[in-house]
Amino acid sequence: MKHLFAALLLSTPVLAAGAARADGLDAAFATRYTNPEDVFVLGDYIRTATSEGQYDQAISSIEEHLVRFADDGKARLIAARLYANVGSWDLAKRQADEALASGQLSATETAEATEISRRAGQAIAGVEWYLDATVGVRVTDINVDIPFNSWTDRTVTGAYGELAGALRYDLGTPLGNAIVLAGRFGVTREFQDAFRGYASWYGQPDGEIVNALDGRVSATYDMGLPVETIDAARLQFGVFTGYSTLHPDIRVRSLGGVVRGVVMPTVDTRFYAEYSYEDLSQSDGIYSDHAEGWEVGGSLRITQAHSIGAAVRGRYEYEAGGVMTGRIEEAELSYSGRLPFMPFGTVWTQDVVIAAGTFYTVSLPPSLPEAFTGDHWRAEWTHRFQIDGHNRVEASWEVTNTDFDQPALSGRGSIIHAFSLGYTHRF
Amino acid sequence: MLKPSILVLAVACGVAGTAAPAAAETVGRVTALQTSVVRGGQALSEGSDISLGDRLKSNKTGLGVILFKDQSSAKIGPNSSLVIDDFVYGSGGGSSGIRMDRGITRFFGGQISKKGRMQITTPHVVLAVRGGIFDLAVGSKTVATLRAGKLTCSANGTTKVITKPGFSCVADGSGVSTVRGAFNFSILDSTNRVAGTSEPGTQGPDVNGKAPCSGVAAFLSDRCQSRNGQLPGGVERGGTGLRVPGTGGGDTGNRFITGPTGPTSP
Repeated sequence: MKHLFAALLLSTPVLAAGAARADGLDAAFATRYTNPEDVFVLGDYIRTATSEGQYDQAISSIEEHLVRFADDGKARLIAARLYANVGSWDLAKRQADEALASGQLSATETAEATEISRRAGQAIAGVEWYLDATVGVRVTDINVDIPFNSWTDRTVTGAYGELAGALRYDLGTPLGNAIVLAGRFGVTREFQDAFRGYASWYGQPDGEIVNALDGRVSATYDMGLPVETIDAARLQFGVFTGYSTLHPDIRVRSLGGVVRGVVMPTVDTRFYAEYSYEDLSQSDGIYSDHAEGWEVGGSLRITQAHSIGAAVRGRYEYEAGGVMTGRIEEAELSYSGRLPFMPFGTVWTQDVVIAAGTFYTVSLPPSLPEAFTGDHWRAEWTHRFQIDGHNRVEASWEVTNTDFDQPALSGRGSIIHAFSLGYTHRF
Repeated sequence: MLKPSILVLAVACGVAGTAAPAAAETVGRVTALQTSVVRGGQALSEGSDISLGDRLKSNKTGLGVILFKDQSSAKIGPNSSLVIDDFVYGSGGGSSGIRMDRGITRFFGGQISKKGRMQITTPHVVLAVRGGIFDLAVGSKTVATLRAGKLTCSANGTTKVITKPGFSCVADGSGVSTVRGAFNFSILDSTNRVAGTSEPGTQGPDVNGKAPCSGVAAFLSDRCQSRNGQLPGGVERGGTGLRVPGTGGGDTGNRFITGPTGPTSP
């Protein structure tokens, strides 16, 4: 029976378990409480608790099963998986190693246990890292409606590639202080013309299809605060440098810093606020010398499978003399969730983001108002299909709409649609 | 699904009628039992109710699981003694309080630890748990090792907060400090080597009887305490880490083990 129990659990991977309501957990617990030795009841409770994100309760039930059936290697693999989920790497490794030693695992399970043991070993040594390599294709449809301009609406299809990764080095403190190094570098084959058809007015070449570059590297000191009444609070101090191209002759080079506070009143809620400053003086082709930004937001996990978020943010760019050259402020609502379907055996998650705001930017063409103001909105819908722990496919759609306030431009603006399909491998 | 066990049958017969007084509120029940856990001198069996005010004791190889009504649980290890002092559970949370005088136990948080106040008291320290798992060893000192969630340790006006699994707080009656290192007892992991017996009063197959101070319950013996100084569990005097005696069979004991809190960057 014990192995049937384990097989029952393993046939429904942790990530694949459907969302369950709290009353489902309570009901499962009530049955489990009155039938402590029924392995199927125990398995149902473990699945429900895991689906609800109540990992400690799921772990306790697995541990109870192991009191009865200490030689159940498959159950130990589940225990290892759950301990890894809560960052208890030493116990995750111990259980994974015990599972491997049991000789009861299938080839797939052996690979998973080996991977957990390897990851746990690294984490115990103080290092966690990932590196994602992505390739894909993006179709961008650009429709610009500005009077007098020479812009040609167009649809561009181009390939893209990206490397993104992070390394967390633990500093060995009770509050988990760490240094986090993160980086991203991408190349996209796309059409670029930041002047929207006015490039010749400024002696710049018209836009063209280029290999657009976009990269950023950051180092962050992440420190915990010894709060007692809430779940956690952390402070983060970071420095970063970035590089991106917006036009064949426009290159943005930034060097800046950010400070961020994160508060988690409960395990399901999180709030944050950050301020950043960046120097842009080494850039080519832009007026701005430096920029400031802020962002305040939060998220709420409704169930283990669904969470919502909200944020407001602003960014302000200035000339060297302090005159503002650009401003953008927006509010954003977001949703992240896991769907209860498994197309082709993949775990399907989606992110939805809707944002709207206002902007200001100095005017470049002399025949137009000295400054533009307007409003914008954008929507993003991203689907991820997780094939396994290392591979996923991602499809996204993004639309950005801009409208200008100026009477001469009333009702004019631009709308850009972008569709992407990519494949990512995590090393 | 039932595990045939002479012990369970025998103990179940033996404890008939030993339930707590009617006035005592039932707060949980024994859901798994290996060897022996007693209440008031009488052995419990799987399915025995646990009531407010109960004092539970395990024998030298005892291992049992108590499941509380708020879905929290306690995996009680050898030579342990604990009292259920408080348990109030409602939809909005509640409070629970357990007093542990000696032994080793792994506590798993439930609904109270997430929405209310879960507190464990030892002769040396008061521990508050928030949505997590921790191991507790009580002897001449108290050592609490966080496994998941958050642990707050308070003693003599000093409070230490641990959010990183694998760190421990150590209290000796004069104060509390945190150390990098886990307090590892393989019996709490139910590894084959020590958890494979169902007979009461016998040691697991991997506990080395010729080297009692290297066994999982070594720190509970006066002999071992005098040899190792400020035990329990091999806490080195004045050291910054924990030295945990191995069980002689490949236990992961003699290492300083830490674990990260997991990604925290937004």
